[in-house]
Amino acid sequence: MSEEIIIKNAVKRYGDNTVIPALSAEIRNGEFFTLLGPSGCGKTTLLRMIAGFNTIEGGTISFGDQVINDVPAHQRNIGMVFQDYALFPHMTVEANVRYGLKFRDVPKAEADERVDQILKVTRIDQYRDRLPEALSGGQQQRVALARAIVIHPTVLLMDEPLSNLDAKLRIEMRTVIRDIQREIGITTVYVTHDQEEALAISDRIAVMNAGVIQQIATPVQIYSRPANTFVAGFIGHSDFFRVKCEAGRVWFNDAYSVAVPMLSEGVSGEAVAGVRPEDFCIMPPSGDAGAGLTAKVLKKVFLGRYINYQIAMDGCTPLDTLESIELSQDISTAEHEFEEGDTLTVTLRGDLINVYSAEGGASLMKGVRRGESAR
Amino acid sequence: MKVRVDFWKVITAVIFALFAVFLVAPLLSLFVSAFKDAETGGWTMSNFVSFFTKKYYYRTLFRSLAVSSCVTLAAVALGAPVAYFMATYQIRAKRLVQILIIISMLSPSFIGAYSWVLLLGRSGVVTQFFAALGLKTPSIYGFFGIVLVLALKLYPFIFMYVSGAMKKLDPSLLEASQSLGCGPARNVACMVIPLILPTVLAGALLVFMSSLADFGTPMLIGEGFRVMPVLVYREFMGEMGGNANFAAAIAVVMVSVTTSIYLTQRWIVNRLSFKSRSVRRIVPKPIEGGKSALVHAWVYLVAFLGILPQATVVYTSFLKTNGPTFVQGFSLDSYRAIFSEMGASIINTYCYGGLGICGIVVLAFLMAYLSVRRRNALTSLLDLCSIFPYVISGSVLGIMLLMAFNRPPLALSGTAAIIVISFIIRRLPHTLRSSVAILHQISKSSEEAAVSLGASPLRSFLDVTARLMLPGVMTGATLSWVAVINELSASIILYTGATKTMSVAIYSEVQSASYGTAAALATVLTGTTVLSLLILFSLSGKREVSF
Repeated sequence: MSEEIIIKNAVKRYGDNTVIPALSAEIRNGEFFTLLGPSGCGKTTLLRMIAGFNTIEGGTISFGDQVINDVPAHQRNIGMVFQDYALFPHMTVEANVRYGLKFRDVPKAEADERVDQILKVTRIDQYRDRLPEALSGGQQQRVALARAIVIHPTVLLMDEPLSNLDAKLRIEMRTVIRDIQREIGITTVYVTHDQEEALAISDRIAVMNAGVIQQIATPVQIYSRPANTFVAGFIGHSDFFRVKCEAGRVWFNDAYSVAVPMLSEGVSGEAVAGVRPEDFCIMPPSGDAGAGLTAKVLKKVFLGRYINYQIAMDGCTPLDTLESIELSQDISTAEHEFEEGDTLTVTLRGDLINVYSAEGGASLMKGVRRGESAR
Repeated sequence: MKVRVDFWKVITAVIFALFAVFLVAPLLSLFVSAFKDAETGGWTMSNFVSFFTKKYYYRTLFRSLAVSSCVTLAAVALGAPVAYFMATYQIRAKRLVQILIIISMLSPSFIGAYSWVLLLGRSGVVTQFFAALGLKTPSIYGFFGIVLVLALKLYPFIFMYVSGAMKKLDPSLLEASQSLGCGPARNVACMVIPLILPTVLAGALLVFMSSLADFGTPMLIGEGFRVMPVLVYREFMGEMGGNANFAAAIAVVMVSVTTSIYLTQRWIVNRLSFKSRSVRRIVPKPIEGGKSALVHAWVYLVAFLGILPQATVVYTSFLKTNGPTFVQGFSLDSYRAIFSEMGASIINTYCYGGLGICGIVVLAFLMAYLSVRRRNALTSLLDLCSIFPYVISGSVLGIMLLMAFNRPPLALSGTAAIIVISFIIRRLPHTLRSSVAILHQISKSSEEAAVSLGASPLRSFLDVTARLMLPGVMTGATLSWVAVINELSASIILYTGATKTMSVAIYSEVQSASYGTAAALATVLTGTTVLSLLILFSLSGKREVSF
């Protein structure tokens, strides 16, 4: 009953304004697939095209073999969880959950059983006779989820379902969602702008920007080997430096270079290196210019487990005009602590950093594509 | 690909067809006949020329505008302070005052006119009381009387509007102004008045238009003082056969005047209005001593004067009568008389009103949905429909419908249908407005959720959206209902012997000086009005109505 979703060159236009130019993706049967991107990137638009609430101006969207472009929303057999839950305020929890079964010729005995079962799975059976307004945010979320999956939908669609919950409940509920989704094994498309949520919950993530998919990959691949500088900057934090590549080494200035084993064969000349805060190592200043980059501590902020330093790098070129970069030091492993005004030496881990083309910012690492990539 | 019949496209087409037939076409034919010669049937400007060159006619326009301006000023002067006092001070018996004000707002103005005749007329109770003391009271007939009656009838609109604005007024703004050194009196002048001004103007427009369109009051107590609706009626129904083309021309003048006033006011309000986000509300403060006495005196006096006509009517309905005069003692004779002689008009009122309300509710549901959820160039035209009650007065509507439907293919004149249609056109906007307002508060996703669960668009509308809209629609429908059963100015043109309604019956009873039966009928109307409100309040759990 669960199906894969195949999107081929899907186009969304509002009048003359093209929101999604030509988008293709394959969402595997049973996987938890997240659309992640900044607000206005088209992720909700795409989700609503799959749901049938937005028209499709070009290309096709299929559930398995069936093209669903012209199937009206109410005949697509989707389960959808809305950002504001969209519970029917005039119906009890049970009536909300039962509503979709009315349109599916389910015999009464089976409907009762399915409702009972899903209320238990989502742990809301003790609230079945209450109205939605008498429930907390987390409970309402569970009702929305139960209502969407009790109909055994072909695909489950979720539009920022956790964004109205407080931080603690958000973490609890994402685990609930993930567990239930695994248990019933349904193809799920999940929209969020919260990268931590996406990394924690997804089998695969599609990072979107301006209606275009920037990368589709597993959370680990997305974080460690971004397909381009947009993904590197959007997921986690990256500092970018102008570098020169030559024979598998990346030169940050005339004296300091690191070996980058994953750099594609034959890359040479100007490029951009993306360095995450944890790819830096800091140590007391060494006299040798080839041993690392020299930097000066501008500000130090103590955050408990971590110390954040704001440092000004000397003798290398950050990509943007920022004069300083931030890096954190885990105090449990730190050998030295630095004070404001100190000079220090920064080294970089060549196995972790990523190199992107100077023009366009596409990854120059081995095997990294917009689709799948190797670690 | 198969062709799918979209339910909402069909509804759009049906509604536009209805509007074209029952509103646009009659309006066009009214305009056309205004430019036709009554005898030759050829094109002519002579109808307008004679209106604007003969003093007898054009003076009526100025009189109408003068009356409406005075009524508006008086209504603001009466209603705005009451609303301000009720919002800022703790007033004793506040609920009662509010309910009295609502009742005086919902009763028809001609009943007010008629009971002021009983009080201040030539043989009125108050007149004779003062005459016995050798004092002369001002005459209720003519300009002064019309202004008095209409101002007391219409001030509740100002009260409702200003009360609404005071609720939205952010007390932090007043506190901020005070913290910057502004005293309490100047605070009212510098903060409160500018902040509520757009609302006051909106209320003032409603009052102005209502008094401009009012037919019953000037007809009953205007005597020689003629205003536009009376002129239109007299020219159209005139004893010497009437001149439909000339009446149409006067109607066109009226529609032009009201439209331009409406547009000007809307332009001004749009320029003055602003968004305010208030979390807190002004909490009424206790007051004491002389200030308390003055404030209470004003609030009670205005509420008392407003409800006095209703009280008089109810009281006199139980008096013994002998022809046109009241005699000593109480009796139910007037009620016996109306149920035996005028039962048909009572049944007609409830039947036509009920049918009209059904039509209004169905249309309001569908039109609100189209204009909010299926918004496009075509459906946004539906918004125009909310302008019609402002610019087309009852008399004009009556003439319009009668002229359009007095011959086949739709020969409706003299039927009940034409009265029901006039009810729907005139009173749809109350319900439509509250339906649109509540629909804006209903999240679109509830309906999408129903669709995602497999409900068809029609089914999801009925199961979810329509159900959630119900409270707002019912509030509006109650107000429409009250307005419909009290409707006079269109019905008096459209009725025939068999389709007489209660308000028409009251009017003709007053004309023939049968004050007892008129009072009994009016009491039945008032009773229905109060009962409808009580039902609404108990269903909605609220104690407020808003326009």
